[in-house]
Amino acid sequence: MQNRTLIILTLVFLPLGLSAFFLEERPITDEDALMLSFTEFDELVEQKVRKISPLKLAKLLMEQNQNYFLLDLREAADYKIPTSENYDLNLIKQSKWRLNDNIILYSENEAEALQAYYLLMIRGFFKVTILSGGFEAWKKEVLFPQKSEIPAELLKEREKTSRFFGGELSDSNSSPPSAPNPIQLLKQKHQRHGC
Amino acid sequence: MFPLYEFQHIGDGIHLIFALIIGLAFGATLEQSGLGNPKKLTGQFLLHDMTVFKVMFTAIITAMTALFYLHYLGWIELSIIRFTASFPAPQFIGGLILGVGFMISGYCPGTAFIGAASGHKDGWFTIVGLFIGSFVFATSYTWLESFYSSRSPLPEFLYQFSMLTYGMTILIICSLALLCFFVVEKIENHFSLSRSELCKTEP
Repeated sequence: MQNRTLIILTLVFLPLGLSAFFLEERPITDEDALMLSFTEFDELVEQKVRKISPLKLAKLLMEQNQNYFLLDLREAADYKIPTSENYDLNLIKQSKWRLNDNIILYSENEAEALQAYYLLMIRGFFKVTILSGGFEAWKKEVLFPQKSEIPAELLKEREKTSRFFGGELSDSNSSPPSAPNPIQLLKQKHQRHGC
Repeated sequence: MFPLYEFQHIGDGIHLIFALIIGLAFGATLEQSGLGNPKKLTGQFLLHDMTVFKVMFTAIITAMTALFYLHYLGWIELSIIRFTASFPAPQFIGGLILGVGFMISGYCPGTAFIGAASGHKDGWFTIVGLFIGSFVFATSYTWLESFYSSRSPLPEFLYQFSMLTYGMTILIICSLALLCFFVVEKIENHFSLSRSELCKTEP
């Protein structure tokens, strides 16, 4: 390396290093305004919300696909979908997932999940999905599906899915229990992991 | 905003074209820097030609400052970029093995391709060795896995040490690089001079 090159490198990198030292990254605070044009806001609201059906989510869970974060936005409940973590909307705003992480949200119905969906989307997360129909739909389609509504050829498979998550097929004339027996689910998980 | 692929601005096919263009540019830059020449590469270990050190350290500080400023300007999202984590023990052993191979062949994996493309036969032999080594590693992976993935409790990045900030790390590494360039220049001059004197005295 000639002296001239060394001088050029010094003239380029020393000022860059010095200014990096003073230009510390400023954390985003509550005082920061969100600059969004009407067009951008319209686009965000009008774009189709990514949804996943309860049965598809159940399949993902049974395959032990760990490539996502499953967030439960309900108030703490006895039963939650396996692998999900309980979060409230304030925590969602502070969390530090990577912008391209797959995040699946569910709440009792879809309302809170949609709120969280927009809170995340506006912060730049772009792989956010909500559970279609919320936990109500999960109970209806995965935990306690009505026998009469399931085609005969799918009955065995649906029963297996339902039992896997601690539920059971329900008869049309009996009303389904409000929540599965959590002990039953715990036992099942215990067997799955073999520990 | 970058990275284009992660933000889905470009699709699955297009990102491969970008990879090809960047790969070609990388190869051309290495070749232009003289790293396709095994003599230059072994000169690094004999301390009379420090080109490898200078090229690599320049690349490191260029990429580092560019990422900092692009992130500062909001053009690139660093949280999405995958950086290789620190695995000190396996990286030390892997570095030793690579270094021995580097000294014997005069090539590292990337420069072996440059050497082969520039018409050096030894480049081809190094490439064959590279594939044999990869095959041996892959077949013994289950045996090596626990060591291969052993991590240290220390932070992965320099700026994660509590007394350092990101900007401070940039300044330290840039200053260190410039100091090192100055020192290696002296070392290079010293060893190439003693080498030429040695050549003169030989009958």
